[in-house]
Amino acid sequence: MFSILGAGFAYPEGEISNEILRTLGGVSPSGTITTRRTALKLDYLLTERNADPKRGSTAFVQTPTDLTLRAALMAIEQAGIARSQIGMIIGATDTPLQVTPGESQRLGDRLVEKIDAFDVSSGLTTLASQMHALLHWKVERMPEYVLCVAASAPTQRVDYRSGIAGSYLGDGAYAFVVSKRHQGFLRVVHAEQRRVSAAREGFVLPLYGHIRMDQGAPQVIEELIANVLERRATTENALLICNAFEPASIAPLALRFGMSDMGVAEDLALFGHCLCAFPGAVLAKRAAQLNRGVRVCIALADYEGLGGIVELERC
Amino acid sequence: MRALAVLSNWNVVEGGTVLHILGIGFSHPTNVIDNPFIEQLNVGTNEAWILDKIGIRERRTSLPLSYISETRNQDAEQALAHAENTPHQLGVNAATMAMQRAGISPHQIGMVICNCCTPKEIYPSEAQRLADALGITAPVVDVFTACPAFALHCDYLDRFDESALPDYILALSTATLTQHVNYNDRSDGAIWGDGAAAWVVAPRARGRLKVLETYFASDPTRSQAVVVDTYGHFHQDGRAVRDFSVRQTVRLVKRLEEKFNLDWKRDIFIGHQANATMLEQICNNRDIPPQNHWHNVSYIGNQAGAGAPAVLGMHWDMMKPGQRIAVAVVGAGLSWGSVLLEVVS
Repeated sequence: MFSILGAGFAYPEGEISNEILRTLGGVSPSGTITTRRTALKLDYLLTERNADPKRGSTAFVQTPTDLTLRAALMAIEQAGIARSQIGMIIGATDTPLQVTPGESQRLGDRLVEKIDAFDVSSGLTTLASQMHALLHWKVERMPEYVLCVAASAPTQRVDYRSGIAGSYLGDGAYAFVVSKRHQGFLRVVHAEQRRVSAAREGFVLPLYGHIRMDQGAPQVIEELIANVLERRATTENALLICNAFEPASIAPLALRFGMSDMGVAEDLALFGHCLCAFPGAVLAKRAAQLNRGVRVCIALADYEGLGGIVELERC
Repeated sequence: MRALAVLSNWNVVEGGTVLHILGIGFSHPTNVIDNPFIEQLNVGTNEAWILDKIGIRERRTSLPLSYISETRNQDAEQALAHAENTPHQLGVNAATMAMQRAGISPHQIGMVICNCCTPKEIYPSEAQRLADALGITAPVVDVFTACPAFALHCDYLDRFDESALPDYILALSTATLTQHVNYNDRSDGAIWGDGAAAWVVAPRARGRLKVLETYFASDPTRSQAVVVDTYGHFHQDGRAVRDFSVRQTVRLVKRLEEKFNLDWKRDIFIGHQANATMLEQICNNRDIPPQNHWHNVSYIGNQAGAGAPAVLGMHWDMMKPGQRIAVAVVGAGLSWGSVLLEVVS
């Protein structure tokens, strides 16, 4: 049995409200998102509107790895284990301040533990690729406890002078302690990745420069998520987590496949979308309150046509 | 189910999944940074020092030499705009060679895993861009640790239950680290080269190389010893990293020698392609004769994760059946690993 023993999430304290967006002048607030969390200094955003992301990289109150660490410590505490019992860290970030080492290794450094660590990521479907690997690893080749993390700080890549990205994106991180030798409170029953469509335009995160998010990008990702769910027959009555951008789209999408929103719309509205870290943060925030037997379906898609599904059951 | 013998982190493949490598490809840019070019940058080094400390004569770079001379690459963002090759282009070339050698077509690839420490974009990822360019429609994942990528990828795949792996997996490592070098630094400019390597792995088909054992480990408490800043340059604690590299590689090799009774009159050693002087030191320590030490660093430079597999690819036609090849790699993270291969056909 592959299960989650501890779950952690972290959002920075800085808030970009709709009033702040209006003050910044370049980004029109989306109708249903009220605040986004940012790890950047608000006075930096107000004075420079992140015109130069390189300057933004020096304006963090909390770095992406600070967020990963907070989430990891929460997960480790919930799992009831010591840091030294972690046998492996699998990490990811889509907004690295260092292209080398990886996020997993930066976290291991912050935990001050000699742990085998490397990154496994696949953009917006990262949680699915991490869970897919761990689910399908042989028990004897998997450490007793594995820490699975991701962090994203896209506000450092947003141009607050124009475009729509600033309306949707916020910063955050997730962490899970998983095991195949100890039962946790959430069992991972299925995880897969597959191609669901040809690549679509809409969203580019370059190594340098600003995020490019097209006007139609939210609608494209909803269509791709629907493609993912259409290929999965066992979603009825589950709670849905997905990586859509528009809060108003979540309930109809869930209903279409016989599911209910697990809290995606609420978290989008309050925290914004933190890219690769978003679905895991939503799950980590709510997982412990689920009733026994409740099923969760995480449906993820990216603009390259890759889809991912993770299905869990509260034990 | 046949039993597996597991020794701490090392997987000795006695039963269970047996991976084979069916083809290996490599690709390097054509621009050459030789030692006289570095000398004329006037950064306080000369060929004699470089050959003594690093043992590298030439390196391949994606950057125009005129750009390096004029700017010393002080702004790494500008390097991307001026580069004549991208990690993606090099990766496509390497993957094409690997698949040709494996005798398979792109539509047969069921998974792509990629290691790239110098991506042009985060979304889409290098793995996705490579897959698109190659016409591969399989899922893609970035599995990343910079330099020891070959060991990590083999070990990562070896952990899977065989039934969960597709028939053919394309693994790649590609990087253009010269785009992150400060050419006012007298040693960094002499170390790095650019390159890509790709290898086709199969859990059920038989290929030229059988994977006998895989191993990967890391000590992230030392992760800041080797850094490439996103908005800046490569930097490292040179002395500490050199000591770590030699010591750790020797440990990896010794362990393989003892467990598998390696015979350096017949078997081959490939180390991390970072520094030819260090590799010579390791070979002297283990009594590995020059003809059984395969390398390319002295004329390509440090190609990060592509180095060791590129060496394998360059010696593809020189392998002899029954030969065992010990690949021991170290690098950023700090991480390290080994793969023991047997030439089977």
